[in-house]
Amino acid sequence: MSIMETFSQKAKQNPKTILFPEGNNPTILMAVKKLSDESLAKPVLLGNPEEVIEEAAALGFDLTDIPIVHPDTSPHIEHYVTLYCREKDMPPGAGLRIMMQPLCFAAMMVKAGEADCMVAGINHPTEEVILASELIIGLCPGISVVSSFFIMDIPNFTGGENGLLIFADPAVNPDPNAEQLADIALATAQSAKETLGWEPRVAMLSFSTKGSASHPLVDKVIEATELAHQKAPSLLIEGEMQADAAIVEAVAHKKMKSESKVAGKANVLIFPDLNAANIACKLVQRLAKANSYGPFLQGFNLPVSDLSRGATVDDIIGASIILSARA
Amino acid sequence: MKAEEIEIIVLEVVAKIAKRDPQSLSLENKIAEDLGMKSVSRLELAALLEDRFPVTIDNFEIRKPKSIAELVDLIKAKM
Repeated sequence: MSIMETFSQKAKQNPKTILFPEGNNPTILMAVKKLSDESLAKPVLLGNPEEVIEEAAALGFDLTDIPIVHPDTSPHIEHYVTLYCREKDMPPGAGLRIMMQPLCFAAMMVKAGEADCMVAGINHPTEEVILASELIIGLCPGISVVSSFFIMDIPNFTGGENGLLIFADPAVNPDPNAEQLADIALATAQSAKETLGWEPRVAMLSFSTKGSASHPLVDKVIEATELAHQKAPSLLIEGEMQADAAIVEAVAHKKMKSESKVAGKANVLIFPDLNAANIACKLVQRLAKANSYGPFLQGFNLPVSDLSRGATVDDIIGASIILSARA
Repeated sequence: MKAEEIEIIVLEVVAKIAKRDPQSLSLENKIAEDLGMKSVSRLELAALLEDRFPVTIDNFEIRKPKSIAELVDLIKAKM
């Protein structure tokens, strides 16, 4: 069974309420229709109902059974403004301006429990999705940055977790400092548990393995590993190590100076910066013909998924059912 | 509205978001470097400025000013 079939099956067993704030986007509507028809989710659309219904009719279907929430006329808006202003000590006028922004309104619906999670970004840059989610939903306790991860399904690779690996952070933080890198590792380990049910084995990657090279860039990874270990002593996390030592047992035996529960069998790879993570994802996709899923945002108190602005119907369905696993 | 009034209100708004005493701020203060204001706080900054002045500021415009003086200039240009 492929990874997407597994996620589909799981989603059908317990369909989650997923909020789509860009309700009048035709690709979103097609994806939402399929998610609903196949009982993969209970979608909720945000937007002007007349416009959304008209857009759906133009595509040749109706949206019976799919709720459409209009922020401008929502009976909840006053309550949301009150909640926000109380928490942030803001005047009602400013609170209303924030809540009238669709992404902020959507994030508040998730926070208020009206939906389990939200999928957005087809009409908005990633930064807008992150800012609205960070402002309203907030970050997980102890996590200082939002970050991202990819699930890599690599043909003919038997390591990792049955041929799967998680790569982080390929999309958000260009040059994380040691503290941020530690938080990226912790958030990714949590995502591995919640999304895939794995026991994470986290490798902190570098061009050095256990002191084989000396450089400030290596020091950053060593410091991040120590910080992550202090914050989560029971987590299997090790570094610094090279990528081959992380995923090939024979290399790990040779290069590591002591017995390791991570080296050679890592299922989560944390790259030292965005350059390395992004380049690695692209090369594994192209050279190893890997199927990659993501990038998924992580670090928020509640699940949020960002879409590429060129996302297809299948991309949206994939993001939705994978996010459902975390909701 | 006089330029001086605009400056006073902008200083008050920035102080509230940055959780500082307005008296401790000057127009030369850099919003990110000196006040440690994160990107996410700019959404609230825009909403609060819109609440105090008859202007609209989108989420891209509010990211541009680097100092409080530049923020004052943005408001003046929109008034």
